[in-house]
Amino acid sequence: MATTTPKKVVVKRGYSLKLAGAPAETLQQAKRSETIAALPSQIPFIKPKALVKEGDIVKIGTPLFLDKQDPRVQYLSPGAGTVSAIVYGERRRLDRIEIRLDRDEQHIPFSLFAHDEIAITGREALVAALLERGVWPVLRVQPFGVVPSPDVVPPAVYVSLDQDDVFLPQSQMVLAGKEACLRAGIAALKVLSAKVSVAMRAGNTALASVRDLITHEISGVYPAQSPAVFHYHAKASAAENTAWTLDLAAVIRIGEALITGKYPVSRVITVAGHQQAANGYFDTREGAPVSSFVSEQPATRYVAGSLMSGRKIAVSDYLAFDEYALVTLPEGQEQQFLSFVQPGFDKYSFSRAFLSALLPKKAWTLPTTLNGSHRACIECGACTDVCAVDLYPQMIMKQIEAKDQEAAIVLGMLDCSGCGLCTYVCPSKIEVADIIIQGKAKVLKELRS
Amino acid sequence: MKWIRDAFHKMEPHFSHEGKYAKWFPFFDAFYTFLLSPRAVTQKGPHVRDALDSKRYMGIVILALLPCLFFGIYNAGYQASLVEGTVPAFWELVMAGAIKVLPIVAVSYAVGLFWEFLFAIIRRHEVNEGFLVTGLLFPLVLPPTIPLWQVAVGITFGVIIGKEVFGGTGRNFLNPALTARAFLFFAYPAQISGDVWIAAKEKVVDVYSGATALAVSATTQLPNSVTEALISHGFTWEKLFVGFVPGSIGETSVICVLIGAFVLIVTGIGSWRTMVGCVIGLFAMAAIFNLLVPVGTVGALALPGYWHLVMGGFAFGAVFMATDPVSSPSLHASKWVYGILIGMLTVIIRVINPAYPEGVMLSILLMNVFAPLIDHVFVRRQLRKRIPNVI
Repeated sequence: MATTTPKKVVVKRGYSLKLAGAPAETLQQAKRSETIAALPSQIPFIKPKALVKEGDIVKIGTPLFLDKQDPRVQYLSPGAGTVSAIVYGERRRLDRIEIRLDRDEQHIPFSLFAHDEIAITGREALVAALLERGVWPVLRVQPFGVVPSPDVVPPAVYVSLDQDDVFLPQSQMVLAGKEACLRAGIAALKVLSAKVSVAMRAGNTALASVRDLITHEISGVYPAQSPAVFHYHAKASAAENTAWTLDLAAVIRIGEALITGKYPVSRVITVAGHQQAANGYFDTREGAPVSSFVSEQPATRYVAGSLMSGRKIAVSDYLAFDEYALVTLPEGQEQQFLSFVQPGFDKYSFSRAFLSALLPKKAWTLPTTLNGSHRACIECGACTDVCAVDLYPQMIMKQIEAKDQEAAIVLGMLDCSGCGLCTYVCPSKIEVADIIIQGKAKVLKELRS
Repeated sequence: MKWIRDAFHKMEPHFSHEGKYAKWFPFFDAFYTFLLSPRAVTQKGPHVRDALDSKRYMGIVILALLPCLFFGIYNAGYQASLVEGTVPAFWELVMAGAIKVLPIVAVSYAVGLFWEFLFAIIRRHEVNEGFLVTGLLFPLVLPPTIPLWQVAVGITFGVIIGKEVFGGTGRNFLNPALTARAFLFFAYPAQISGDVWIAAKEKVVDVYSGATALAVSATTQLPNSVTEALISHGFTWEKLFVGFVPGSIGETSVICVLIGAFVLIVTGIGSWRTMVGCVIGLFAMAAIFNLLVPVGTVGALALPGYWHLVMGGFAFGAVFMATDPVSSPSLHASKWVYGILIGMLTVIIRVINPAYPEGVMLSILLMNVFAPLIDHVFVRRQLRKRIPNVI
């Protein structure tokens, strides 16, 4: 099969934060965990119902909870042992299912698929196989980023192998040793949809071994490599608005579940940020406890996932289904006297309003300070200059605040990729991205009611 | 400075939600955050934020205005000395100018901030930094002889009707400083136009009329050459460019305006598109009028664009007034159209309209009104290029 030259995708806007604290690219083995957890509340837009009780014995692959909206979509246990705690949050929300692990963990066995078998498996059988192996929920459908319905054939699938966020695992580290899984995953996606597009960063020589899979090359800065941004720039028509989007780790999980016949639990994560001693790449597992990577330090914030869109967590927490990074940030900062009249060599900004623009540092350690107070939008235009999907975030934000959902949708609200740059650059400290994400969630809620 | 920080930390609980003086929180917060960077941290992603905030943003605009302010202070003293027939030393001129200008600035800030604080306390929000700029822009577009009570009334109108009535910062559709000036212009025309540009104690030198360049150009009729008329009144292009001529406090020196423009453009705070658009529109309309000289009567039809550039308040208006981000359009493309229309309308009002020698203020205000429409046209154009993603 001849490979055609990959199409070029150029993402004009975006912003790459020059951050210190990226981990060195050597894989370490994570400490053995005593307890892990599944976090149903971190799967977007599902209504989880527990299938186990405290004290139940589970194996890797035992169904732990399902989505009441579609009970066929089950979430399997990432560990074998005893269910030690089921924790409910506000309004009886199923927050956490903790499992105390056995010394020797057992798997629920599923049938194996040889790579060649995947391509000839019928769609229905493959859908059933993915549901059975608990990897259906790694799939995401646009525009809302929810788990897709098993009944709907997607118009297209957009896979982006690379990663712009330097704190998240880079593709060559994730792919190492898992190439067969990636190929099996792509083969499965090709059965599930007529059009599968696979992108990598333009000029990325580290992915040379899988060049034959690549259909697109993306150039640009964060968030250019994001699957949602890839989808926006590559979609051919309005019919593709409801395409699936996946990153490298998701495709590997699908492939691994099919060719190993086991629910895939191992994953590569990064620990990054200012707590340098803890930083690195770790071979660990889904649901690993945060405490096995970092210890509680004063004035430190811990974030699971990306520092742009991730979740603030405690050291006593666990990494969720879709979390592949742990980021440490200095919490707060000493107050500065007359800070706004200082020359600002030590201030990092997208604008050129500080003298740091003349002598930029190579790598910055940013604390969690808001760096200002909340103000009204002054139409500075910074959010528009960084939006990778060509939106006018401030206009969408204003329409949402004015409760004009129709106008917000017409402006392209549903194309928002959730990268968070609009909020990052806003001098009025408006939570633009969050307002838009909540606006999208409201549309989804109304669609489902 | 640790003692300042500790003092504020001790006071902070009294002004918080449950504190005894909770109502006065905006007052406390204004001084607290002016002196010390706020302690607030992010609550959700993105967990880190850009260093630019509203105070820095407005602070840069104020920095950009300072050359015009300092020049205006000196020039007010200098112009007065020309009429009084004296030749004082440099510092005496500065003092003479300061005595006229600084009270105007002080009244503008004091009265304006009074209204800002009042609205902040009533509406229960923090005092916004926008007024730090408006409070300085307003004096710079007034003559140095303006009565202080008019400064107070003008800024009151500008802050209340130009901004607060619409919901405060970010919600005004007109430039508040310009609205304040327009109010004074129409309500009390005698003290803001005519023979008001020189703050002299007494007119000793009769031959010095104190007329501005715009006044000279407005009264010149064809076939007399308007540039010759200007030069004979002492208004060479070079003198207008440097700015030692009568006029509003901050508008005369194009050099100082250009320094301010440089600061605004280099920092990315002021839109260069608006500024350049204004210049393009100005030159275009002047060129069109130049073509109409054979069929016109007004001398100013022949005035070349580069003269319009250095006369009156055009340079100041294009750089500092038109670029107000809230009242200008949002899109880059819109800013070009907005700027070009401002430049064209300025020349039209200056040349054709006998009632107004200066057209910048009115053209900016009218284009402020048009800004949403210009945006609407360009947004629709952009949206047509997207694949629609609607439910």
